[in-house]
Parts: sequence; structure tokens; C-alpha cells
Amino acid sequence: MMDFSIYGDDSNALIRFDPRTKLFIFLACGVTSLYTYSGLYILLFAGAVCAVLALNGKPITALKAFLIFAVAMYIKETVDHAGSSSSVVVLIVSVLTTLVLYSLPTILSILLIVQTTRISQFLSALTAMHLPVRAVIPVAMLFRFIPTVQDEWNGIRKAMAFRGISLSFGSVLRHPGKTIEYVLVPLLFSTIGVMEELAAAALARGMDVDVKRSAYEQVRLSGADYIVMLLFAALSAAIVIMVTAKGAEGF
Amino acid sequence: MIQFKNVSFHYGGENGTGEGVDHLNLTIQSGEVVVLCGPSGCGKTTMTRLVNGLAPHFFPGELEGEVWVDDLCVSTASLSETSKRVGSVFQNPKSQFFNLDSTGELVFGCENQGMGREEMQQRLEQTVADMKLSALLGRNIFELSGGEKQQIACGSVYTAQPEVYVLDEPSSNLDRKAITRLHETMRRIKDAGKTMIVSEHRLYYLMDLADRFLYLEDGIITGSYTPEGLRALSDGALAALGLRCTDLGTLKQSPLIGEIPHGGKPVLETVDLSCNRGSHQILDIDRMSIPAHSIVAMIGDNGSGKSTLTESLCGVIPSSGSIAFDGTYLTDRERAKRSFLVMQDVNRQLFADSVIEEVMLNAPTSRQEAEQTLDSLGLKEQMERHPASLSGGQKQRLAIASALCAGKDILFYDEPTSGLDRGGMERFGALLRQMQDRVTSVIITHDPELILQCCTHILHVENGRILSFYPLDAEGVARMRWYFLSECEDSTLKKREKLGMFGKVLQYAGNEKKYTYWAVAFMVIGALCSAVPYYGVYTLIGRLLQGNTLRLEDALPAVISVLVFGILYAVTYTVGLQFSHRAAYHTLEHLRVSLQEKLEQQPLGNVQEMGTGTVKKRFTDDIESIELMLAHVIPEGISNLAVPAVILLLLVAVDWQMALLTAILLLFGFGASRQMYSVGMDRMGSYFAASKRLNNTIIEYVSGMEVVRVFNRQGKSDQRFVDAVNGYRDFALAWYQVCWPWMALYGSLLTNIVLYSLPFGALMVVLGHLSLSRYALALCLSFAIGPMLLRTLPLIGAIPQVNYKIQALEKALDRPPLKCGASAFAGTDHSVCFDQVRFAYKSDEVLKGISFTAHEGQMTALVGESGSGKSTIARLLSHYYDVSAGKITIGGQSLQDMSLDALNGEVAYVSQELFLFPESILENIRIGRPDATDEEVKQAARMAQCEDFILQLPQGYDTPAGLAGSKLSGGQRQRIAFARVLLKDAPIIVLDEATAFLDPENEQKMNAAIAGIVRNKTVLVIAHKLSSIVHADQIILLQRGKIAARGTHEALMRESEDYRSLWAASEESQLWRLKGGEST
Amino acid sequence: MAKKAITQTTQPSDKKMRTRDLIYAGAFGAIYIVLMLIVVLGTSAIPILYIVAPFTVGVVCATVYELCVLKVHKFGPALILGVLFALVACSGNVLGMALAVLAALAAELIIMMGKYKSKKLFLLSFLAFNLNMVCPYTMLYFHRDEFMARSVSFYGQAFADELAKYAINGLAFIQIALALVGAAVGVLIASRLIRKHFERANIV
Repeated sequence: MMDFSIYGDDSNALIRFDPRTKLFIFLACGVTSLYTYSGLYILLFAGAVCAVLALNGKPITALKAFLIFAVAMYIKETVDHAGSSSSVVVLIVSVLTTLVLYSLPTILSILLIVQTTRISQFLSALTAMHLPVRAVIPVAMLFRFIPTVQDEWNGIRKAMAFRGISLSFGSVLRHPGKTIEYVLVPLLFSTIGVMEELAAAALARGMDVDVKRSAYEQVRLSGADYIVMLLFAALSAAIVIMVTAKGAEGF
Repeated sequence: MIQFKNVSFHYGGENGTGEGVDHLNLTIQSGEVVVLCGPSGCGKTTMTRLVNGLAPHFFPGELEGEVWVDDLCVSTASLSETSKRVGSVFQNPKSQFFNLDSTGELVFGCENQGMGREEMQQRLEQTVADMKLSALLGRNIFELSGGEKQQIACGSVYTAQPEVYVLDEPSSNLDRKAITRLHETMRRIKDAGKTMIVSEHRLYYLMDLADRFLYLEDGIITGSYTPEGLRALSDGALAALGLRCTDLGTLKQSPLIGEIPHGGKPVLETVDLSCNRGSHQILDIDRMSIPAHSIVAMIGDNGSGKSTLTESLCGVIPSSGSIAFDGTYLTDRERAKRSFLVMQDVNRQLFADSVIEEVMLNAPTSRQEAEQTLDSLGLKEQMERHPASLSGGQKQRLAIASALCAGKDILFYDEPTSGLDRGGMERFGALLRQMQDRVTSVIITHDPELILQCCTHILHVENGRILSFYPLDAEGVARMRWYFLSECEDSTLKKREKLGMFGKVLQYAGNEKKYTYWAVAFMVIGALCSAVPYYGVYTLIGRLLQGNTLRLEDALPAVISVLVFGILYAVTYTVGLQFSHRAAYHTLEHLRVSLQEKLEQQPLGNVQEMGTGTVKKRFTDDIESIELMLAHVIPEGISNLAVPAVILLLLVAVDWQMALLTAILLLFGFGASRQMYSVGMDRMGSYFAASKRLNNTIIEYVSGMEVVRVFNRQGKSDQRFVDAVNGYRDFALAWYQVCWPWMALYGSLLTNIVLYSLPFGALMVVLGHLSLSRYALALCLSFAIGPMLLRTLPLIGAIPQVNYKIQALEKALDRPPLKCGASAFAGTDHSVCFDQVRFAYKSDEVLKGISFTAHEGQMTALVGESGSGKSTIARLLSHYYDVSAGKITIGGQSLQDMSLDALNGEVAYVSQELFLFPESILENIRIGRPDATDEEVKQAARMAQCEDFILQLPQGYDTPAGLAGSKLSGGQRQRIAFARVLLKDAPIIVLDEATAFLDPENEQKMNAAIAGIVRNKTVLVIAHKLSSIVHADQIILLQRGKIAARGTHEALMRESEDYRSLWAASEESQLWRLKGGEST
Repeated sequence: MAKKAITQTTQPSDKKMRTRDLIYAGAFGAIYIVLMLIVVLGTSAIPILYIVAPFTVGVVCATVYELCVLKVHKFGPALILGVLFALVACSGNVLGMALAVLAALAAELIIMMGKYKSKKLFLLSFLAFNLNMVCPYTMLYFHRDEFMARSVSFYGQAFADELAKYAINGLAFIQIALALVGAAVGVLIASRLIRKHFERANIV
């Protein structure tokens, strides 16, 4: 049921951006999402993220995301300009549209990193950024292990079906404690087993925090990378400056 | 060189498994391959861990003594230091990779050493070249098969270039194909002069690799064998040591296997089972049934669909078709309740905190019964222990115990003996035999030793189909053994493509994809245009409602805009429709072309087997129905969705609260329709299967009417008919019953949006939140949405159906294509040689190791009872099918190297039936050699004794075959066929019952003609009438797929009892026929 | 815990996390995050459960957290888990990430107070850790001015202030409370499961 595809595939990409550029975009999105900015800027910023996503080989995802932006913008504007209404509904609608408008760029930037970057590329980028091996290993392991957990989870759900253990809403409500136990116990036992074998294998192949690692995947910042980074830096700066200036006027 | 200097090791802490080693003294020379063997827990794995340093650096424990690899003491050196000298390959492919992509994994070791990029690149290239891994580069590890993963694991070690390789049970999770690959990889490593230490249970594949076998027992090396020495041990001696076999060829079936159950009521039956995963159909199973109390081994290469089949049968993954347990058709959930799957990773299915709790969990048994069950499985002592603290074998038995206590009927096992030693494997086999009275077992396995221990049947799965199902009697054992011993093809799993619903259809749109996009664009523009008139109407109403009188000049702009946009909408809609139709028909064209291409590559036999009926249905009916859907789904679906979407957005502008209300209603409506599809689809398969059963019964009923009436068996036949009709009625009703509430719900929601928005809007107007004119507009818009969406719903439902049909079409034609090369005939002469040829039609093995040579210039006759495999030999020689095993050569050249054209030039085959094309008789004979002149054709006809009757036809040679066809007798048709062959003048002639329908006089003439052409040709004759082949140079007597005797007529009459009786029977029927007058 | 006493003769027992510990922490991070997503996405069909996610996630994921810190038994695992969590779950805003990491740091400090021996403090630390589930919602607080502004235009300043006080600040308190209660329930479950299963199977 759960399938978060995290194997990066950039085979359809027009431009393959450096993982560091993607990280920069991620950071820019994280910062700008703290500010309430409006209209044109949202479309510009979201458009830029979608464009990068499209260039990196996911045009359909990008198009869908942009349409969601546009519709959310449209709803927000009309609701803002519409007259009176009951406060609760307005609050709920505006909370929802705000969430979409300000957090979708970040979600897209995560998609950009996860779906278009292979883990080895990502690790190479982290290594190129001189991050210590200590920091790199858990991140790498996180990505490596997610498919394993999914796999185990799917297996356990099947095993539950044979044992007459249901995960339907009703039965979870009736026996919450039991359900949690029946989910956690096999999941943890089997994943811990895999985890230990994996650690043994990695160590036997010479992975060691005290030894400097090198990276096979080549990461290099190209002209396109610099342009995109510059663009995002400029956009975020513009948003931040604009909002703070407005704030000074008494928003 | 590896040295163990008085080494003892015992685990401590968390890993107290007790598998320690004591006082090991051992020297392994460089370049040596040493295999560590012995029963489970003997310390093999610990020894490998001592070499790669994991003990004691990863698994803590107490160590005495030292292990040295060359000049490095691995007992004290750090793991990263050791890893440069020692490379490790582990047992479990799923837990030994750190990367998700194969290339990254190959260089993982080098990266850990901090190696420079250029050097890594160079080494990677070398590894890929040496280990032949290029097909596996840049792949997602999770998509590779087990064997491919082990190849990558070995390759990864190879790239780091250590001197010593340590392999810990590398074959545990592999099938026969993968073991072949592993073997090859290890051979390459050995050839590169590396040292290898392998801990392993399966020994047979190591016999030609190993230099030395070390036997361990309780942590002490108690024996050392050379490969020859080990091979010399009898099976009994190996069993005493707890070792598995050294040669699969000598395996014997266990005498303890009871009687093979057959007949009786099958415990499991399936009809028309199919299962789709992602964008592909995986299973395509027509019919299958498993007898009660059998132990079935499910074999087949990895990726052939064994697990999918098992899980479909158990009902844990959705599938369509009907599956019955004990004669009752059950839903997925009911099947999951009555079956059980012992998974390969048994950790996943243990839930409770003690053994007894585990078996009591949700089980309808008393504690006493549960204890009895545990006792019978040897788990009584462990009753209070935690399941996770048990050994692997005990966990497996615990899972089985839980299934027994839950009263399951069928138990499935997924590779239960991977990684088990001989004792464990034999105990497991004994357990299955012991449970045989209580349950039916189906075992997915790659382990021939287990199969011979306990199984009663073999279920061979290939490419999502049941290749064969046969009992494991003496012949079955030979057939199974042949499967495990035969060479298998080396192919790499294809990259899995993930396509969505639309993706699958669009795949076939090819270059015309742009039309689809254009269609979408125009439809959306059209939708936008269609919304504008509403706005125009709104302004008009607004004016009226405000009490203004409406003057023409005020109204004009609005009216004009309504008109203009109305026309624009019509135009864009039409253009869009055109584009979408173009896209639809191009898609269909590509679909047909691609199917035809696939059909052409199929073995002719397969196509015939499918029957022209099926092929026709696929090409015309199925594609036709796809066409209907495509041509409507794409255009109407797009416009019907786009227009409501635009209107809804417009509604937001008019009044967002009414829009919200509408949106919520729509969501509920869609939710209901989705719900209906999901429940409906659940039962759809069973519904279709029931309707198919009904159809079959009707056909049977009608065609059997005559027999039924004559023999007065009406009652029985009627009963079956009634049953089928009732079954269909019940399924149809059940299906409808599930669906109709949802249908009613969404129908009412979507059509009556206004019903809800009317009062709500009125309230808003009263409260003063909404102006009357906007209210009117909103209502107009709401009216427009519902019907459109209601029209869309069935279309949305149609897309999965289109997908389903395309997938079924692809699946129908994905059988392996005929293996044929491109080379011309290059044989030295035209003698035909069959070498150990085996061939099976589905479950029946028709040829069981046939070897003979038909020499040039001779006539070779194949005789035997019907069904002995004579005609199969002829068809194989014409390359209708590929052989299952063995080889057919012509003049030394393999049939599979030759192109079909080349083969056709060499072989002329006269089958029992003749197909006449709707042309003149002359042209029909000319087919034999299209460039023959009329005179040559007539010459051939004369030689084949045809001319007499042809000239009697109304227009002689020019009589159309259709007209003549009905007048021609069987014998005359055969003579026309023979004339074709004579005209073709191929060096090899195969006559399959060519004289069956001839009267004696014509037969004599024909035999003379045959004798006339035999010179310098290879002639193979299949005959029932032995009198016609008494002069053959060689007669081969076939019996049930084997050659019973061969020689000349005289020799056979002298020597072979079987031949004499066959001869007598043939003569008798000859007499009988003579008395009966001329046969037709 | 008695089993731990067996001499790990060759295991240098330093305080720093070693390669194996880092691998474990990363793997537990994956389990934690997948479970969290299953809980949040699986229940998001009913919007109210989306708001109470700090509670539900706390209840379910506590055991994973406890196993992680108990298995590694050094300074660091909770922090790594926190950072990984922040990267995935709070990536909507930088401040939320920072707060999530702070929560994890607090959890580390609580464990440290017990000198990596006190089982009680191991368990207790999850209460601090689970506060990170509030962080993804910080997004809303940053944009609350906007909601306020809208409310002001509709109902006037006084009402808007009331609204801000109850609806928005109230939400924050409710969520913190939910996170703490969820963590407490989760810890109870965790300690029971650890006693019942994982200690008996020698996993921790």
C-alpha cells in the first residue's frame, strides 16, 4: 500500500542539476516559507521550482504542481475579495490554501532531491561539501532503509491477513494496544535483523567513520547550476526584503 | 596465505548463538579454494567471520589465538584495514547492499578506501568486463533478481581487488539459473588466482571449483576431503555426516513417500486466473487443480510468477478469476482465512510473546490441542520461550504450528529449505509427509533434494503460466531431474517500466502522441469558451433583477459574446474531437501492428494451439472494443471533465461558498463511484469466470445434444446446465447487490447538486451574503455540472478496462518467441539427426529423449500407436515448436541456427490435413514452388497421380479450389498436397500419414511415386499402415515417447514383439477396410 | 541488562558513536519515518486525526525511538533521529527544523542525565523528543498574521484578538499537550513491549 518511490531517475532530464543546487533550492524554499508574501511572487517562486523540476525530467509532476498552485491562488484571491462569511469556514479555507501555497514549494524541492537524485550522487555531493562521514552515513542509511521498511511492512500486512489480524479502522479502534503490538513486534524484529546484517556487511567492506571516503559519482557545478542558484537567491532575497519592508509599514 | 593459529572463539553478549569454534589450526595457500561444510551450527560461518574480521570486531566474544592473512593479523587489525585484503559475500542478498543502485554498490569498497576517481573508474571498467556485468550497471538493486544481486555482490568485492574472498552460504537464496551464474562468477575469481573460502550447504555446484572440503563438527575440523574423495562417499555416508548431495544426477526419490493421491475431489481449483501488477499482467492461468492431500512442489525460474501465483491463491493480493477451495468458490478474504503461507522470512509472521501464545493467537483450538500440535512438531520444550529467541528452523515449525492450530486447509511454503542443512531439510520433508493427512502442502522450492524427499506432484510455472503439472512417479522424477540439470539460458531481467493508466495507452500512441496533446489543448480551450456564455447570461439577468429595463444596445455585447463564444466552443470542440479520433485510431493501428509483430515471432505450434478462434477474437473483437473505448474515452472524457472544472472555478468567482458546497457534494459523489468500482472490481473476475462457465456449459449442452438424446442421459446433462445458469445468476446478483447502493448514491448526488445548493443559496440571499443575480448564475452553473460528470463516470471506469484488455493482449503473446537464427543452410549433407530430444505439450511429455539419424538417400519410417509422438517429431523437424531439451540437426547444423526461410527450403512437410487457398487448383499446387511453370506444375500433378481427377473437374486445372474443395475426397486432397511437395523438390521430405486416405490402388501408385523421389533425398514417413513402409531402410518404433525398437522390417519382425503385434493390428484393419469398400 | 556484563574483550567501549551505531541510527530513522507517514497518511482521511497526529505518532513511534536509543546506548542516536525527522517532516520551514532538532537535543540531555544507565530517563526522554511533532505545524503560526488580518477585516479588531488567542495560540497548547500525552502513552506501550518482547529475545 505504501510505495514511496525513492530511486532517483533523471534519465529524461534536459539539464541534470547538481545535488547541491537542489539542496540550495530546498533551503531557499524553507526560508521563504516563513514569510507571507503574495500574488506575483508566489507564482514566480512556485513557477521557478516547477521549472527546475520539469528540466530535471519530471515535467508532468511539475505541471500538476503548478496547476495546484494556480488553483489555490485563484481560490485564495476570490475568497479574500468575496464579502462576508462565517469565520470558521473562512479560517479553514485560508489555512488550507496557505498551507498549500507556502509549503508546496518545499515539498516539491524534496521531490526534486528524492526523485531525481541517486543516493550515490547525493552522497558524493555531501562529501564534496566536506560534510564529515559521521553525518553522511545516517542520511545514506535513511534512504537505503526506507524501501526495506516498506518491503517488510507489505510482508507483515500479508502475514496479518493469514492470522486474521485486521488493520481496518474499526478493529484498530477496538483494540488499539493489540494492533500496535502486532504491527511493531514483527516489523521491529525483522527490520532489526536486516539492520544488523547490513551493518556487518558494510563494516566488512571497509566502511569506517575514521577513514576518509571518496566518491565515484562526479558532481560538478555547471553554468546552469549557478544561474539557478542565483535566481533562487535573488527571489528569496526579494521576498524577504519586501515582506520586512511591508512589516515596517505596519501590515 | 591464511593461517589460523590455535584459534578459539565464542560469542558473547547479544549474539550468544553457541556457534563457536575451538582450537583451529589451519593453513590455506594462496589461490586455493576451500569449502567449509558441516551441519548447521558447526561453526562454518564463525570461521568465515574470523577471516573477514567480523568476529570479534563486529560480533563481540572471546577470542584466543590469531588469524593471519598474509602478513596482517586480522584478529587485531581494524575492519577497514582487513577489508582491503579480504572481501566478503553474504548469504542474504537483501541485506548486503548499502546502495540502492548497482553501479554505486560496485565501487562501494573502493570509496571506503578513499580511492581516487580515475583509479575507481578503471577498476570498475575492468570488473564489468571481467564479470560481464554491463547489463546490470545503473540499475535499481531492488529490481534485480537474487542471482543478479549475488553477481553484483561478487563484482563489488572484485572491484576492491582483495586477495581473499570469503563467501558465506552464497547460494542459499538462489534458483538454478542463479546458481549457474554464481558458479561462473566464482570460476572467474578462481581463474584470477584469488583465494576463496566458501561456507556452504549445497555442495554439488562446488565440486569442480573446490580444492579442499573441510568438514566441521561442533566447532572443530574433523575431516578434510578432496573433491574426488567427497564424490566417492556414498549417499549413506554423506547422510551420516549431515552433508547434502554432491551430484544432482544421482539423487533418488525417498521410499518414504506414500501413494500419490490422484483423482478424487481437488482441494484447490482455479479457472481463468489472472493477476495484474503495475502495468503488466503477470499471471495467465487457464485452469489448474490440486488434488487433496498432495504435496506439490512449485518449480520455475525466478521471476516466473510463483510468488504472485501463491499470493493470489491465498487471497492476499487482488486477482481476477475464480478460485475454489474444496469445490466452493471463495472471495479473497475467505481464502486468506483458510490458507496459510509460511514466508521465507518467517520473522514477519510471528506476533506473540511466547510460543504457546503464538499458536493460540486467533485460533479456535483449546490449549490442550495447541500443546499437542506443538508436541508433534517438537516444540513442546520451547513452549514458554519467546518466538524471536528460537532458531530459524524452530521459527519455521512454529509458523506451521500456528497454521495447523488455526485449522487451515492448504499450506504454502516459500522456499522453506533455503539455508537448511541436510538434517534440517530431511526433518522438514518428514514433517510434510507426517502432516499429509491433515493438510495439502504447496512448496515453492529450488531444492531438488527436498522435492525427492517428500513431494507427490510437480507444478512447473513459467512466465506466469502453468507449464505443466505432473505426478512425481518414476517418469516424473526423470522429468524433474532433467529440469534441474539442464542448461538454462542466461538472460538478464528486464528493467521494469512503471506506467500509469494513461501511460500504457499512450505507449501505443507512438509519434501520434502529439494529436492527443492537441486534442487536450483544444478541448480545454473549448471548455473555457463554453463557460463564457454563462457570464453573458448572468449580466443580462443581473440587469433585469436590478429592475432596469433591458435595452437592445445594452444587451447586445452580452448577446454577441454569448454567440461568439458559443461558436468558438463548437469549433474548438470539433477540432479537438478530430484530433482525439486521430490519436485513437493511430493508437489502435500501432497496437495491431505490434501485436502482429509479436504473433509472427511465435512458434507456429503455439499459434495453432491458441486456435484461430482465439487469435481472431484478440485481433478483431478485443481491439474493436478497445477502439470503441479509446475513440470515446479520450475526447468525451476530456471535455466532460474540463468543462465542469472550468465551471466550478467560475463558480468560485461567483460565490465561493456555493462552490465549496458543490465541490464537497462532487467529492462525495466521486467517492461513492470509486467505492463502487473498487467493490465491483473485486468481484468482477469471478463474475466473468461465472459467465464463461455458463457459456462453455451451453456449448457443451448443445453440441452434446445428440448423444444425450440417443443415450437418454438428459437428466445429468440438464442438471449441469441448470447449475451453471444458477451459478451465473447468483454471481450476477451478488455483484449487483454490492454495487447498486453506491450507484444509487452517486447517481443522486451528482444529478441533484441543485437540490442542495438551491436552499443553501436561498439562505445566503436572505442573509444578504449573496446577490440574487449571482444566485441565479450559480444555479445555472450547478445545473450544467451534474449531467456532464455523470456522463464522465463510465468513461473513467473504462480506462482500467482498456488497460486490462491491452495487458491481456500483451500477455497472450508474450510466450517465448521461436528460437531461430539468421543463417542460411550450411549443413554438410541432408541427414537429419535427433539428439536426446525431449518435448512436452503442457503437462504431457510427448517425447522423452529421442535420438536417431535419418540418412540421406534413405527412407526412415516412424511407426507406433497414436499418441506415441510420431507427428510431434515431424512438427519439430519443421520447427513448429522449439524442443524442450536436446537438439535437432540437419547435416550437422542446428535447426535453431537456421532462419525459417532456409529451413523451408530444405524441408517439405505433408501434414494430415491440406489447406486449399481460394485460388485455382493449378495455383494451389504451384505454392510448392512459386516460380514453377505451368508445365512443371502439371508434371508434378501427374507424378502425384492427380491429373486424372483434376481433369474431371469442371474447369480442369483452373477450377477454383473453393468449388472443387467440396468435391475432393480425402485421398485426392492428399495427392494434391503430395504434388506440391514434388514440385518443391526439397532435399528432406516429411510425409505425415500421407497415404492414410488412399484406396489400395492409388496407394500403390503413390508408393511408387515416393520410391521415385527417395533417391538423394532424406525421407521421413509416418505411417499407420505398416504395409506401405515395409521397404523402408530404417523403421523406428515409438512407444509413449520413447524409441522401443529400430531396424528393417525383417529385423523387427524377428526381434520385436511390439512390432509384430502392431503389424498384426495394421494388417487386420487393412482387411477390414478392404471389406468395407473404398474408404473416403 | 545483566547480559551486557559479558566481557566484550575486543570491543573498545568508547563514548563516541561508531560506524555501526550510525548505521543503526539511520535505519531506525527510516523505520520511524515510514511508520510516522503510515500513521499520518493512513489517518488523514479524517481531518481531525491530522490535527491530533502528535498524539497518534507519539503512541505508535515511541517503541521505535526507545529501541534506537537503547540499542546504541551512547550520545547521539536521539539527535540523529531528530535531525532525520526534521529533514523529512519539518522541511516546510527552517524554524520548525531548528525546533525539532532542539527537542531531540533535549531528549539527549535527559538521557545523559541518567549517564546512559537509567532506564527511566531513557523512557522519559521521549516526552521531550515527541515535541518535534508540533514543529511541522509551526508553519501556521508564521502565517497567523495573515489569518488575523482577514479576521480583522471581517469582524473587527476585538473579535480577531479573541480568535487569535483561542484558535491559534490555543492550537499550539493543544498540540503540545497532545504530543506529551501521546508520548506518555507511547512510552508506556514501549516499556511494556520491551519487557515483553525485546528483552526476552535479547535484542536490547
